[in-house]
Amino acid sequence: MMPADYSRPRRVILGLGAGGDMVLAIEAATALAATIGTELLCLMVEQEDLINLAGLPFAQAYGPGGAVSTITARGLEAHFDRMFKVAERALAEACARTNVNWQARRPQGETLHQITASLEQGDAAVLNLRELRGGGHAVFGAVRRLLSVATAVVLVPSAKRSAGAVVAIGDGPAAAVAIAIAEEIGTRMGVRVEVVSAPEFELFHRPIATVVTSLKTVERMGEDEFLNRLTGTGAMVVLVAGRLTEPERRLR
Amino acid sequence: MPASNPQNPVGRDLALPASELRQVCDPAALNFTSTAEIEIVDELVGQKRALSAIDFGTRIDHDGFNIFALGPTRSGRHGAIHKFLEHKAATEPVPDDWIYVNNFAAPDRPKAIRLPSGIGLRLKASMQELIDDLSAALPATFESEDYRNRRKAIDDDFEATQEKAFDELRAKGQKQNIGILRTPMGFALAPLSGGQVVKPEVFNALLEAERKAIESKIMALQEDLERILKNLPVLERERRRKIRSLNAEIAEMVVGLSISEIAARFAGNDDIKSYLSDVRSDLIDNAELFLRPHQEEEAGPFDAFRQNGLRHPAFARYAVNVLVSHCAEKAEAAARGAPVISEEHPTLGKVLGHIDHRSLMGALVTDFTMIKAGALHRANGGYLVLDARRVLTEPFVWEALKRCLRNKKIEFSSVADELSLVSTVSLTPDSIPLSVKVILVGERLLYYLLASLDPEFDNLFKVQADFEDVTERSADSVALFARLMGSIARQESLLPLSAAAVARLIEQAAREAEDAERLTLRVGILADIIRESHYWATAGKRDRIDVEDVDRALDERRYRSERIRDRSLETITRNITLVDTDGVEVGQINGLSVLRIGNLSFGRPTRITARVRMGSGKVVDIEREVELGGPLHSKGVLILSSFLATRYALPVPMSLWASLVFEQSYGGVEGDSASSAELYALLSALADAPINQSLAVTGSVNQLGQIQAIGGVNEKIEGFFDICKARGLTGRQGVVIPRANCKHLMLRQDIVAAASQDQFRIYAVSTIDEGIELLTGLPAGNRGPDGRFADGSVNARVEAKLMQFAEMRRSFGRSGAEASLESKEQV
Repeated sequence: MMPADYSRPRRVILGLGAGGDMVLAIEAATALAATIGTELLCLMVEQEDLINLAGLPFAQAYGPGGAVSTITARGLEAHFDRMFKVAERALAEACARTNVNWQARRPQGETLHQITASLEQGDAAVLNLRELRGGGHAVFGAVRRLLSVATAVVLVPSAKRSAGAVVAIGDGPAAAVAIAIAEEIGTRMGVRVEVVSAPEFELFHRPIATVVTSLKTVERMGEDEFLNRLTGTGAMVVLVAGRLTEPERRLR
Repeated sequence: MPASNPQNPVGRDLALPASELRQVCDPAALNFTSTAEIEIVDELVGQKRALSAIDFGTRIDHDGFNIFALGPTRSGRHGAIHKFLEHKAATEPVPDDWIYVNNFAAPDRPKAIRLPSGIGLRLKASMQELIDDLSAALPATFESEDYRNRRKAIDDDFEATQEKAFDELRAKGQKQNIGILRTPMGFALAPLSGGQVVKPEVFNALLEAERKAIESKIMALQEDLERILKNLPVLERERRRKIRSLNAEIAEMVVGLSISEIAARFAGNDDIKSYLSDVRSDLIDNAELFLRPHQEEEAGPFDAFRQNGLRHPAFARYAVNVLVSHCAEKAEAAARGAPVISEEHPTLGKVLGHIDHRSLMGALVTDFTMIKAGALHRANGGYLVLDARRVLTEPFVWEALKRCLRNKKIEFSSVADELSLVSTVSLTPDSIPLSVKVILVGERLLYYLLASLDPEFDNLFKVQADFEDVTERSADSVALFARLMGSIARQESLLPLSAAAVARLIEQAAREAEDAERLTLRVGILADIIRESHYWATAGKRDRIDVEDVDRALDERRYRSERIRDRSLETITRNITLVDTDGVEVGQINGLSVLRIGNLSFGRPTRITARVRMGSGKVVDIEREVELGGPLHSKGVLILSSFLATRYALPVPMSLWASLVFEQSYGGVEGDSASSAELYALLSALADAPINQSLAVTGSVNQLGQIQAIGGVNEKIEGFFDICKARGLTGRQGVVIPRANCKHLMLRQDIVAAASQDQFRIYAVSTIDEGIELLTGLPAGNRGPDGRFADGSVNARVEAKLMQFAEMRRSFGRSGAEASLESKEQV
């Protein structure tokens, strides 16, 4: 049962970069849209920096081991086209399976900016953790921006861990919402939900598939520490709104 | 009228009394009323020689003393051999177990390990336990805080090293307004303005010097970037090496403890110790196998398919394939002794064992767990009983069996290998030392063919266990047979047999032996008659099998099987095939032959005719001329020719041309049992003495005119009797047989009854003279002191005819010579 002050997301916005890691994010976004019974909007952002780079005369990319390839506007365009087709196909299959209405667009610009721009009050955002580069501060700074509009943000790991517990970190602010979402995910996945405190989460050693918590809890645990713990488990994280108050932040 | 008339003194002397036509078994002499009263017999009757050979063959412990049990089918060889072997094997030690385990160094060459009985299954259980334990313990260990921290330290170290290099480059670039971008193709360097990549149109609007300056900066940074990226695989390798080392260290703690526990259970066994050492090393090297099932990362579309069948396919490498274990439980094994294995369908795979394959994504794969034992593996250390015919008819089995016995080891081989038909992933498992006693059971023909055609046979099957076909009919053997009949009934839960029923079965045993003084040892046939008799007794709601049930069973068997016989004899009674059963004819006689079609054999009369004229001393056997006569038949004709040539008209050249024909015979004729009949027909033709057509004749003749025994005498008599009976018995009809065959007479009861009422007779003769007198009613005639046969005798008439032919030939030769001379003079 959802707490009375929690409103279900109206839409799910899936933000994809031009990298190849899209299947897991699509699966997660589709599953979320199916769970809450809403439509899915996929934004595959064509990064402006890359487009500009491709127009420069010395645009070269260095791959693993130092392999060099030239970046051209045509090559980049072809890459975007290819990625968009792959995304469309994956979306079509996943949404057909789960009976979810979907749309896909390919705006140009900066990924986070484009997602934020598309968000409306009450939407949920799904994106790859890899899209939010940098340390805990950078990642949760971006999440904070998204949650200023969105109801929830889902960060998807690059490697799937399908087996494991659904863990709700439930002793902090917005705990009721996190637990309710965790239970909804647990019911859908057919796994038991573990409700743990933040210290217990630190010591939790069983496999974890999904972590549900609030941004406020993350801020309490420490953004870097939480990110480290999260990447160690390989779990997907669902973050709901709820921030530390200014006195709380100062206290911390 | 010829002498077959019972009033004829010759006929009276030669006719056998009805009591000699069938040696009956007196139920009263059996000394019981029902087989329920007598003890069963638990041994094979009358096979002392064969059983002694088997006993010897199983005791002697030298190479090649395997046994070939030869003899007739349905003689109870298989059952007797099994009973004998099981009794003997029970006192012998249980053989060792054989297991196959993974050869971690060369997985295509699985290792065979010999273990004391029962240890194989225990080791298998222990290994399963080990894997189960490690499945839980290893992931838990790898999930532990300690491991995670150490692993994270390696990862952090790697990432820090990598990030440090990038951070330094990034900082260096930022000072020059150059940024590092992550693109789909890799990392790239680009000029920045306000934190964003400079737009192409802005860049192009720069002065050339400015553009060159930017490009130079980028070129310089590219070298650094390239160096960092080139170093990444090195760092990654180092990271993996450290993780492997950490994994091995962590795994060794868990694996070492578990392996030590198992090693303690099997202390003292060096093979197991060595194997466990290999397992330990492999487990440590491959500890991540135990982590994968929990991670289930990117299993791919066939993951569910791969999981079918085996819980954790990756763990199969640590399984123990117990190829042979004779010991499910120790107590049971102690009672069982050495194995006695019989393979009813001895294909190559079933004898030598086989290696299964399974289809995996379209390919056939296998491993040591799919090695299956064959009969040789199961019988190793004991006895293997095989049917020789089946072994010889299954492709490659005979050669493979010999190879194993010769090399004293079992090596896997398949038909596909032998024919080089398929090329797929296969195994070459260690061979297994072989110590087995093989007992081949087969017909005599097979034994003698193998002995003569296969040079290895004598060296590999040195013991011949020759089963008798028949045993002597004596009071003791009859009593033993009675117990045997009772045993069959009791073992198969059939009704008990009355003494009269047993007596009738003993008579039938003599009939099957074709000898009134012998009993057949093909007890399977008698067992079937008992089963059928039981059926009729049960149908008649009787509480025991009586003589009428046995008779009914015999009659029904005969009726079911004698359709061809009935149709054959019908052609005679309908006068399609010409056979007279009354009257007299010169140069014509009723011969008797036996036709064998499958299991059915029956007697059938055939008209034999002889014609004579002057010639050059040749007796033409028309059957031989048209290649319908076999060599034995031709031999018989040549013998009778010799008899004629040496008995009659000695002073003159043989000037006879004679022909002999089996009338209306369109198939082959073999055997010499009609040679006396042919001679009688020839003498009749020469002497112009009519032969009594009421009689039929069988018997072979030698050069001295003595009549010799033939086979199938009962069927032959019965065949002629049935024709006569169909046409009506006249009291003059009968069959002339060799006196030597009297002891073989076990005729049907209706014939014995007809003989006792003088409606049909059996005459026994010893010489041609006796026979010709009986058939013609004329005296045969002996040579007197003057060297001449008595006037009017058959012999005198024959000699006169031959002299006449000789004279004719001489005169014909003279006139021919004169004519030739006249011709020359004219020229």
